[in-house]
Amino acid sequence: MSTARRFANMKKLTTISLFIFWVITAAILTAGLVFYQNNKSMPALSNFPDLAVVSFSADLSGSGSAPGAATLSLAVIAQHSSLQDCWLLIDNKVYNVSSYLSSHPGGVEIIIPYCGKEATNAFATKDGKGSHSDYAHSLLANYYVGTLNQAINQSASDGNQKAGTSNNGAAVSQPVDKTVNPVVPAPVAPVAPANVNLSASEIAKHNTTADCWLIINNKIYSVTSYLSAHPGGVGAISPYCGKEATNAFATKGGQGSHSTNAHNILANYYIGDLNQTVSQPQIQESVNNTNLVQPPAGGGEREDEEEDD
Amino acid sequence: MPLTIRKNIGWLTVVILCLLPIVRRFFLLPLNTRFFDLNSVMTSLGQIAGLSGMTLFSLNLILASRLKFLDGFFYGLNRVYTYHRAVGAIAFSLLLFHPLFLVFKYLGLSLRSAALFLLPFTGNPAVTYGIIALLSLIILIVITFYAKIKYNYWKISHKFMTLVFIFALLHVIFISSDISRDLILRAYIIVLGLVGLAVASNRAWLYNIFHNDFIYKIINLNWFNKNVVEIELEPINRTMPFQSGQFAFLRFKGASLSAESHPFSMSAAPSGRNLKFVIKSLGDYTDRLASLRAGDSGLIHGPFGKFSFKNISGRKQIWLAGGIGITPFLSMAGDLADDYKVDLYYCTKDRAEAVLIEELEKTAAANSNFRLIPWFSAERGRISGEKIAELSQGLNDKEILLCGPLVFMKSLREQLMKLGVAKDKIHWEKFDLI
Repeated sequence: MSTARRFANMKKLTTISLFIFWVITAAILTAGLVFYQNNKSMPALSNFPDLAVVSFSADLSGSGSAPGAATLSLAVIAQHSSLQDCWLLIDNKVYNVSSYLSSHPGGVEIIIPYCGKEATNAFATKDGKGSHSDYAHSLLANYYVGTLNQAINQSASDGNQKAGTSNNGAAVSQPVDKTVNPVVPAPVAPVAPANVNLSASEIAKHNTTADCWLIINNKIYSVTSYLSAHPGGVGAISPYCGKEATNAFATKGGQGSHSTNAHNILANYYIGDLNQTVSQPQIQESVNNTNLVQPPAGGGEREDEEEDD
Repeated sequence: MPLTIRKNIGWLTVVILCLLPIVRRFFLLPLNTRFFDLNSVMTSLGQIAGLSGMTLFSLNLILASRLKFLDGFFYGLNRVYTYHRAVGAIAFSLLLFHPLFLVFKYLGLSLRSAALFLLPFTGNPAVTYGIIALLSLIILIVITFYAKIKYNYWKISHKFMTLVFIFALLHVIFISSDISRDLILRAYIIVLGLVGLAVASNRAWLYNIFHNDFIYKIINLNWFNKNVVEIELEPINRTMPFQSGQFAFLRFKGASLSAESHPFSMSAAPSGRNLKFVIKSLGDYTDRLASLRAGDSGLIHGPFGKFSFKNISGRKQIWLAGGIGITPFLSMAGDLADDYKVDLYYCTKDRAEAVLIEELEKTAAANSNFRLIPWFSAERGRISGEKIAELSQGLNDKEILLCGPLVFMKSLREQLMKLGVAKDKIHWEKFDLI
């Protein structure tokens, strides 16, 4: 009798576990795949959630001499040497990996000795045991704070510390974002007159990876903030910055064609039609919007900050 | 060793073997690096679920191996199967929660990365092995717990657990984490896994080649009626020693009977050289016994079980046999020592159904300590606890041994307990689904 009852209980345990498993799995898969595909604002082909933030990071070097700035000296880095607040110095770049620690596949403890210290060799050689994958490198880039001895916004790094213990995605993008936001619109704002004719010659001015416009099917797209998220690489787009790219986009540079999703993503970066006259604030707004849509994680916080600025 | 310890040492060992890797894991690193934020707590839980799930999965393969030591260790092989089911269900649940806890840290990065983590072929091959193992495990468990399929087909499906386990083991071997770098933990899990895989694979796939069965030959087939046959076998190489009341797995090398083995109680006393089994056609397999002929060889794996009057301290005993459940008592009756006092109730529909009753009558006539009480329900109605108490002059201090159909045993057990018989005075041995 007791055996039979035990067996029935085991069946109940199995049933409940299976139910929980499928509910959670189905929820995550639906949200992560189906919902994600429909959500135009996210670069679908990128497996790297915070990759887009990297482009901001790259621009960071020239920016942050804001009031209250601090220098990323060795002494400053050394202050961030705990489990809750861990900065690493790798190839003269500073990374705040506090929020990542518990996700490290090799374990927390292997990183801890390097918190607040030089970790170039440890990272390059996996502490003498091999080397990190490209994916690992791309993950690391998400946690970039600045280069050694660079001046950064003190409040940004403080915010980073606080957020670091609570939310991964937000913690990563937040500080970088704050210092960077003023930078992106900069090339557009001071030079252009009040009304701009989106002529070929005007578009040709935006021909760098720091400011890249494309003409595709007589529509103009400002794709600067997307470049680094492009699965085919920045190099595939950069030759077309400021130029006609209809054919290159349609044929993936002769290698096939873009997905519907890729078309949807492109639409987010639309600023106007060829030879259309638009006001400067309009372009400004469009460019800002493209900045708004591109980061895949921590979108909510980003919007708030946009308003603050 | 007291009986309570002998009965519980098996599952206690399983629990300890399951806790060892978790304890080791806790000593690997200070706890504050394990449980310092929600991510690390969830990761720790995921690792613990994985470790203990995998340990229990390995142990469960050993439990299913039918190895002889299990019979002593768990106090009867039939009890091993009860634990096998329980351990299987617990291991399965732990393994289901293993990825659910681990996916949590990816949720912090993005939903997309969490979804990709749960899908096979999207990243690390070691994770893919794990996902393949878990999905196929789900299929086999669903078949076991929910699908109503023929025993034969279920048994074949269950053999594929070994393949599932190979993927689980690949996952364990190739996955990299802070715990996989600990040599002791790694060795423990992998060695236990390999042992489990070896014994279970042998049981499932290679048993015809690697076995240590006793080889016997059928010398006589005695059909009592069209359903019940007594098979007598003589040893070819060595005789199997056993205790009266025990059972063994029997398979025949007959054309239509393949190599399926089934448990049957030995019905002759252990003193003789030959073995006898009394088998009633109940399922597909037993139906096919009709094709057996004298001269066919029988392979016998055993003996197993603790269902014997000798394992019970009380000498005043009441044996209750329902139908074909008489078989272990046939063996025991021929083996009874003088200081026992036994009443055997042989309950069948009528005398014609009471096979070998003449033999028991002879034993009873020769031994004044052994009383046979035939109970034919066609004449006297169903046997009841009260009738037994009346005919045996009370139930006080008497040990009750039950063997027969499950409903028969359950109903009598319940009635006897209502009449004040202590639970530990009632002994039975069930073998279902072995």
